Amino acid sequence: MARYLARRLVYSVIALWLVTTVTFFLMHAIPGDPFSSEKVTPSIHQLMLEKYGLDKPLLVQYGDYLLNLLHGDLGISMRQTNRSVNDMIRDGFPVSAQLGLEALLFAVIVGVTLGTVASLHRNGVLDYTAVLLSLLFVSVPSFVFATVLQYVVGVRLGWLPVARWEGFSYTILPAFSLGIGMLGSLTRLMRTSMLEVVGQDYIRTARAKGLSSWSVVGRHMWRNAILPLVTVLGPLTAGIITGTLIIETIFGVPGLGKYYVESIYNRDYTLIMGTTVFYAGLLIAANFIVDLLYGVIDPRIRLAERG
Amino acid sequence: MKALRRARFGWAATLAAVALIGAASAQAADLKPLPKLTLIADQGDIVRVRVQALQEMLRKNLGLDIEPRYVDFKTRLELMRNHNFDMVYAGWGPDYDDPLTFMDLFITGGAQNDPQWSNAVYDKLIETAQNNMDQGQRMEAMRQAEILLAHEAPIVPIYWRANRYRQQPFIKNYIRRAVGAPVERKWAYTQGRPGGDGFQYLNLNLLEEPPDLDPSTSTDTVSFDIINATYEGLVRVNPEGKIVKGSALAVDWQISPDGKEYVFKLRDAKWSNGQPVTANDFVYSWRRAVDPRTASQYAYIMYVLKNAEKINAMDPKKDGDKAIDDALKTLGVEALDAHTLKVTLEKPAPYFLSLTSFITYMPLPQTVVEKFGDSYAADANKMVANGPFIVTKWDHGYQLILEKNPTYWDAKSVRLQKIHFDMIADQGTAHNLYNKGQLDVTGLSSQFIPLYGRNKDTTAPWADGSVFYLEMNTQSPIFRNAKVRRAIGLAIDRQLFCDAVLKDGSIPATSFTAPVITDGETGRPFVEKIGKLWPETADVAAARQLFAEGLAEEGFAPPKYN
Repeated sequence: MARYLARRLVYSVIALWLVTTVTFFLMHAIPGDPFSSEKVTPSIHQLMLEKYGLDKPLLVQYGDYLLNLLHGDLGISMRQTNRSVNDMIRDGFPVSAQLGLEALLFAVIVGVTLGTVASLHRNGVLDYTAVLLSLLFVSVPSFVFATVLQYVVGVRLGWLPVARWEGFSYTILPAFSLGIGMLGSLTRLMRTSMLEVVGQDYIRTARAKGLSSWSVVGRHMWRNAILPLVTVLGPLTAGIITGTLIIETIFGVPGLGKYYVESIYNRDYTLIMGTTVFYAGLLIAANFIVDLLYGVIDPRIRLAERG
Repeated sequence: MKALRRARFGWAATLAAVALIGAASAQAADLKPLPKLTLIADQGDIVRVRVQALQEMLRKNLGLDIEPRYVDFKTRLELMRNHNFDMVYAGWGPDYDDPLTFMDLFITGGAQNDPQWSNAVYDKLIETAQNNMDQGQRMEAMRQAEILLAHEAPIVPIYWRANRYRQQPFIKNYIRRAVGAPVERKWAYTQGRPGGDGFQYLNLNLLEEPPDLDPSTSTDTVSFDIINATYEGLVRVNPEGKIVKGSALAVDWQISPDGKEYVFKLRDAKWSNGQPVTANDFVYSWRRAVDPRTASQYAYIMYVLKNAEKINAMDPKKDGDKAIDDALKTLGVEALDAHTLKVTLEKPAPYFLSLTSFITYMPLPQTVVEKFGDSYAADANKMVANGPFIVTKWDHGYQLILEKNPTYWDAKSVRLQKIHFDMIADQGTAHNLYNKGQLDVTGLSSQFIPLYGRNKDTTAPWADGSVFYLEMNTQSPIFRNAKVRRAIGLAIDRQLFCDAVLKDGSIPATSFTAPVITDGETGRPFVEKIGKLWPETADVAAARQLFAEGLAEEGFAPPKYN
């Protein structure tokens, strides 16, 4: 196990380095730079490039960046002058993470329940309703839900705030809009997975032993059916936390999502690198944890590792 | 088959056919077919619709096929600066109230002269406008320059942009500006707000995080808005749009007969930390903006100051700190005493007073700026103010709160106690907040006009000073011909474009300089002096004739009209 962990850790570091390197050079290959502007004159432009070290050879800049990165220094934003990228991530990420986790929690709880109910009532009204709903949730983009909810629940009914980020009630609509697509996928996944398990021999055995149906579902079916979900949970978690851009914009949430996209339009090199490296680290960590969890939940994986 | 046909028509017919084919190919060799031309424009649905309309007008009226290429803003700039284009759809906004802020773009070798147009007469006229202090002669020179620009047409103006807003009718004295900061709120107040006017406040939307609140380096209107509210320079344009003595820190000034020396008398005023505002704060701030080590984008707006351009062109690496520090002492700004500021200009600039209300000309207290170093103005507690308001809270990317500055010299004129700014980029959300009474003003872009355009609280179109136009690369095989370029401009139906495509109250641009720019003498718009140099509706006959002539001169085949 320790060897496996060490190996995975090395792979993770290599993956992070690759992402950093590829992003760095791709970013510099896009036309324009942080200081290109309609009004800047060539000589002033040159001064600005020099001030931020962008006049140095690209490889030197790359070396400098890696060195700073090792010290945990992501540099100063080139668009939001005078602000450090570390500060921007420190301010924005907790907000995005809260929004993402709320959405995730909502999607997992409701999705797993809905999928379970659907599979237990296969081809019944409940099943069709669940399947239809999940199809709708998956196919309608989150910003459509967001816009409709904002108007109906926020403006017309006045039940929840239209936008801004002041307390729990402000998080409900954004979290719901963000989680709803994932809720759809999870419902379908859970249903399929449950249906696969339901026909297994051990379920028949369990029923034959005279176990209560709660016990069959809870201890035998669920534990096995949840495995595929855990697999997708890693990338989904990262996806939901990084995918907050549109929802954050619509609800005026001060998260990190918008920096991720804006920084590219602004050619804010340090912020592009900062958010990318940070998110890549997050994604790699999420997959790493899921792999560990997988071993905990599925004894077969543990055995395979030992062998 | 071949043998059969030859037999049937005989040798004579064959010879005739060969001759015909020969003639046709000779003609094809002489006259090149019209090349496929690319029009570069910004990404996004809004611009796309506009470009398609222009594309259709040129196809219909000139038989000219252009292919749009949509790129992001920085890519477009890069293509323009490298002259890597046939045509570009671009815009320009003024920095100060003088036609020069538009006209000096197209001098030979100018940094923004993307079309690479060069005209000695034009250069001479702009030089006159730059070096003369007689406003009559300057305006005449620029009038002639405008006419030349329309005749030679390296650029073809299309429209002067106007914006509309949804604005609560209880807001008074809310003054929009085309130059510098977009809104002046010093004198704003509410009257008849539901819930009472006892506590005076406004809820507004900045749209985005202000990228830079340091006056020396700031470049964008969102930041300008906040800086204008929190700093006070030598002059502040009054509610009537005039610059008068005593409107800001300068209570009086004398201008030397040659127009190159200004001596300003400053009033007693305080920074928000209690420190007095002195002439030295101007000297420090202006030197800082010009200092090449500051690398301020807007340093060029200080180039009217004596030696500014020379100092700003120094190389921090080659010349070293000492040489730059010494050179900065020669900059044309000097504190004669704490309340007297002497400014020396490089050449007479009659619009200099208007320039001093620009953000880069604000004073800064050296002790405070140096205490925070590079992080000056990065947070609410890392800046000082000497203007009508102070920043009391700034949650980055979320909200910014201004409160009335009690130490402001003219605090009695400021009635607003508090301004809350959201940073909401989504227009739909802003309208929803406005509908709920949580925002007092919101912009109204064209896609929302059908929904809210007829509401009572929707403002009339307001021209913001920017002009949108087509640039043509005068080095390209087809656009090197002025007749071709002029034909493009005549083929565009500006009125139709404004009425049917923009639908936001924008005005057909009949010249380059926007109508908000005044003539410096009477305060009337400069455009009134020059008249209409471009037709509002398309002049198809004239356009086609010029186009055909131009194409023939360049050896292109005549266009085909459908």
